[in-house]
Amino acid sequence: MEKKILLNERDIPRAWYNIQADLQTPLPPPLNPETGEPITPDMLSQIFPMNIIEQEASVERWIDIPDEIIEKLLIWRPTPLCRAYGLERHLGTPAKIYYKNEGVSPPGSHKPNTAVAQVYYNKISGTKRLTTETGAGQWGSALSFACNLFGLELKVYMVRVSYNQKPYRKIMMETWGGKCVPSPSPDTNTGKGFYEKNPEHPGSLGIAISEAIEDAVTSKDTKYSLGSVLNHVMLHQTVIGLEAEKQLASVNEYPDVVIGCAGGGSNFAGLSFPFIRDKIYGKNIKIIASEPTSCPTLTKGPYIYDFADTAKMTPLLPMHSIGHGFVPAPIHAGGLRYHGMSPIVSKLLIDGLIEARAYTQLETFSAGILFARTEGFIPAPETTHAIACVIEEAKRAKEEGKEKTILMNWSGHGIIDLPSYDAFLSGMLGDYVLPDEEIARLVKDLEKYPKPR
Amino acid sequence: MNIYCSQLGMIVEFYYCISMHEGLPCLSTPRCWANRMDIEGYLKGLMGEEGFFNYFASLPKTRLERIVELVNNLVEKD
Repeated sequence: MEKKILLNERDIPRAWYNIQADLQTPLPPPLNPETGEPITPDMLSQIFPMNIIEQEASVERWIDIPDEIIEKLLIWRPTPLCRAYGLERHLGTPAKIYYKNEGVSPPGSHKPNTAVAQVYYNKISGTKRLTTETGAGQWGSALSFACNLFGLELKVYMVRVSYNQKPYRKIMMETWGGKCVPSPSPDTNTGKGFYEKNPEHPGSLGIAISEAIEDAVTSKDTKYSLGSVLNHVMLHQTVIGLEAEKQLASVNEYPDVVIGCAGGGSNFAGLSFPFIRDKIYGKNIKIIASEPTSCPTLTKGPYIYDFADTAKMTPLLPMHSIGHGFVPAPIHAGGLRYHGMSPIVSKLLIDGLIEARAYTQLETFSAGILFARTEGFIPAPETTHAIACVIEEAKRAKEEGKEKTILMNWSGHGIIDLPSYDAFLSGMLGDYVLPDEEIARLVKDLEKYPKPR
Repeated sequence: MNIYCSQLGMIVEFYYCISMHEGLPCLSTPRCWANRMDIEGYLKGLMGEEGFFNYFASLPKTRLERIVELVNNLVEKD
């Protein structure tokens, strides 16, 4: 009975896998919103070094990982692939459940896989300082860790509402030498506009992005770094799946189902892309992206308004595209506009290579608690979405009496996210439909606030 | 009344969702709250039917498009 399948350091992948090489139709180019023309490398050179821009557009199947990056990845990689015997027993399932434990990295998540690579490429391009934004704090922590490894300065704009609720994230970033400020901040023109009107402005990811980009564009030797969504980020994360392939092969296993949670898409991509390549070339494998029913990007598609008929005679109607067997034309025509989701992951969904499922916040936190009680590790709230999906698949295997092999990306630990667990355990979270009287009360409460324009 | 926000990795209050963008709602608000209330009706009540449609009618920009737009604006100002 083998609990952890370990890979020797010498077996760490030496090249990243670029799924763009195997897409049957290429990704539509991102467009400049001003001109409608494709975005050129020159436009991005203000904020990214050229070597990263080249990776963003590359269609080469394999991209070598420089030795300097390997040396840093070896601090925590290869990560263990674990068999979830405790969870299997609890569920009474014939399924074999494996999880790739990305929570063993110093910042506690998969994020440093790309942080280390991005900082390295910036370093050799002459960048002295990086800026970024962070919402949950995982990315800011990972980038701070990586900047310290290569001797770059870092400034992180963290959404104030999150900054206030997660003081340990700021401490982590500053322990590694990064500077973390709440956004909106008085340090940029964008931030100042909000900050001067209300120093306690809760902030938003949009404002934090604007501040980080303004800082990068207007400061000397400074570039910007992003931890999700972009192609090069997905690329760097593929070490996860490439390691998992080798680890499973070492015990003569191959997954029937691969599962990852999908927010911006990077941890899902990291585990699944090497297996999607197999699927493209004929392997029978189910690949599932799991997400919250709150903010269901993939299962409901962009929330847009469109005419229900091509003659545009009907009123504008809300349309949730994917999941209803229908993709509104503007989504095809305009590219893949899933708000906050990686365009490659969105395309894989449209192409039918992956499927998406959504879980409620009670289902996911219950899954997280069950995992902690059967396997010991407390998962990050994001990771609990993957666990909820694993549990569903394992139960299905039991009903069908099939001995399936399920592989999951355990993308991070939740030790710094305990307030969310506290909210769940103390009954402060709900999925229930709000009764009319509660909505009426809410409307009354909100009368004291300014109305949205 | 709160919800788990996957962008921020934390629990947020309803008021944050509908006002976080200088008094305007997060673009994800209709999706996030649709299972729990008539959020569309609620927002139309606040923003007016036309304001609601104007605000939510456009396709969201991808992250890269948003970044390029920000850079363009900064370079033009310079």
